[in-house]
Amino acid sequence: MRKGSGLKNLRALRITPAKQEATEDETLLQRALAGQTLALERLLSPHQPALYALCRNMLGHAEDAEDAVQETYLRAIRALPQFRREANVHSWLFRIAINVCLNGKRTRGKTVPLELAPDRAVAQPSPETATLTQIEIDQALAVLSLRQRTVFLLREQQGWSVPEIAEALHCTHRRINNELYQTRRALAAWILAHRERGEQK
Amino acid sequence: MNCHRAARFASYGRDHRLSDRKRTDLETHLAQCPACRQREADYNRLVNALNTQHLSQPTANLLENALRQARETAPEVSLTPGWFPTTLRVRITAVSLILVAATILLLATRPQGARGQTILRKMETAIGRATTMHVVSWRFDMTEEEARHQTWHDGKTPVRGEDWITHDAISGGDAQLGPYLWNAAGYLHYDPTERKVKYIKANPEMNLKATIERSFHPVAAMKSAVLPGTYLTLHKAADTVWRGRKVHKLEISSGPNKPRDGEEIPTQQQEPGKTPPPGSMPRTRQTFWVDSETDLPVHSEQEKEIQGRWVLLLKRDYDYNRPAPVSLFDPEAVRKAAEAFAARRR
Repeated sequence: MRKGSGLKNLRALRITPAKQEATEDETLLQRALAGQTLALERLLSPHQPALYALCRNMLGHAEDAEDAVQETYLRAIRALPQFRREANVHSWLFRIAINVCLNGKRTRGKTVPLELAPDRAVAQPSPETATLTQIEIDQALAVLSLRQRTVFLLREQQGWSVPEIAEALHCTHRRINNELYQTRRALAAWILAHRERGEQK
Repeated sequence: MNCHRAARFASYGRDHRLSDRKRTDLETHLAQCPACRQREADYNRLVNALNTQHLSQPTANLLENALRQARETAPEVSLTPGWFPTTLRVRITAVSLILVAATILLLATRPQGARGQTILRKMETAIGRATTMHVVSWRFDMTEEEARHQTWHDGKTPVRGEDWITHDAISGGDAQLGPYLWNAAGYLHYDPTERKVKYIKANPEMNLKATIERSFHPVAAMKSAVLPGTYLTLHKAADTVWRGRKVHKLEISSGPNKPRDGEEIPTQQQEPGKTPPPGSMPRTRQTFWVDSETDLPVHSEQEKEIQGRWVLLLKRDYDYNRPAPVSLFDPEAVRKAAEAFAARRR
C-alpha cells in the first residue's frame, strides 16, 4: 500500500510504469470482485489522499470533503462490477468524486463560503509555500465558481489534459479551454488585488 | 502584442496550445512588460503552493465507513467470503432469463382473438361515426389490359394509384364514361358525345357506411372473398407504431384450417366442416393497422399466396373526416377533367 501525501501518491503513480500499474490494478480488481475485502482496500485506499485533496479544494470544507470521499468510495464499491477496463481506477474514482462534489454542492446549495469556512486545515507550510498560505489558497479558490474550481484543480493540480477534463465533464475541448482562460484571468485579478492590499498594509 | 492578448497566449501556452511563433511573440512581450511578468509569476506561485499544500488528512477511515455502509444498505451482499458473489449473480440472471422466456412463450401461444375482436368491434363503431373517408390505394396485380382501361392509369405500368374521396360522393371513373361523381342516389358524369355533364341514378341505398362496407372496409373485403368451407381467422393483435402513430396491428387470413377459440370471424359464406378440394383456392390474408386512439383503420395490405410466397396485391391508406374538395362536386370541373382525360387517351 502506498503511503504519504496526495502529491507523493500522484508522483508515485506517475513514476510507476502505466502498464505495470494497470496489471496490478487488474489483479486487485479480479480479487476484489471475487470477494476479497483486502484486495478491495488495496485497490481503493491509495487514492484517498489525492481524492481528499481534490474534494477539499473543490468544496472548501474538511467535513464536506470527508463526506464526499466516503460517498465516492460507496459509489465505487457499488459500481465496481460495472467498472470498464478502458479507464484506470484512479481516473475512474476521480470522475465519481467530481460528480459527487458537483451534484452534492448543487443539492446542498451554497452553505459556507470558502473564505468563511471555520476549518483552516493548515499544517506546517513548507518554505516554498511560505508566501502563499493555505488560507490564501482557499481565498483564491473562493473567487471561482465550483465549475471553474473543478477545471482549474484538474488541470493545474492533478495534471489532467484538456481532452481528459472535457471527457470527465461531458463537454467540448473548446469550452474547457475557454473556462481555463477565464479561471486564470479571475485568479490573476485576485492575486493582483491581494498583493495591492498587502502593500497598503 | 497587448497585455490582454499576452494573458490569453500565456493561458494557451500552459495547455500546450501555442505555436512556436506565438510563443516567441509572448516571450518578447513578457521581456518588455513587467506587469505581465508579475502576473505570470504570481500565477506560478499559486499553482506551486497548490501542488505543495499540506492538508491534514481525515481521521476517520473513509473506505471502511463506505464498506460498512455498503453492507448495511445491501444486506444480501456479503463481504465474506464474497461481497458480490458471482454465483448469486449467475442465479439471478438465469432465473430472469427463464422468466422472460416463459413470458414470451405464453404470449406467443395465447390466442389473440379475444383482444382482436374487441378492437374490431371498436373499429366498426368508429367507422360508423366518420363523416368522410379518404382512401389512397395501390393495386399491384392489374394486367396491362386492365390498366389500360383505368381512368388514371399512366398507360405504361400495371401499377395504378387511385385517390378516392368517400363522402356522400365518390370520385371514380370507368372505361366508357370517363370521370364521374358517385353519391348516395346516383352519379354525375360527362358525356363526350353530347358534351354535357349528366346525372345518372344509381343505387338509392348507397351511403358512406355502405360504400365503405362495399369497397374499402378491410374486413368486409375479406368476408366477401371467403369461399365455402373455409374460415376467416383473426391471427394477431399486436401493439406497434406505424408512421409515428400508436396502432393495433391485426391480421386476417382465409383458409381451410379451423380457427382457435375467439379467433374466428363469422361470415355468411362459411359452411363449417365442409372441406374444400385441396389446392382449389389460394390463401389470402389482410393486414391492417388500427389507430389506437381513434379506433379507425389507417392502413391495410392485402396479400395472396402464390407458389408458397406471399405477394402483395393491394395496399391502402385511410384518412378520415377530411373535407372533400369542392371541385369534386362541380359539374364543370368534372367536364374539364373528362375532356383532359379524353385528350390524353387520344
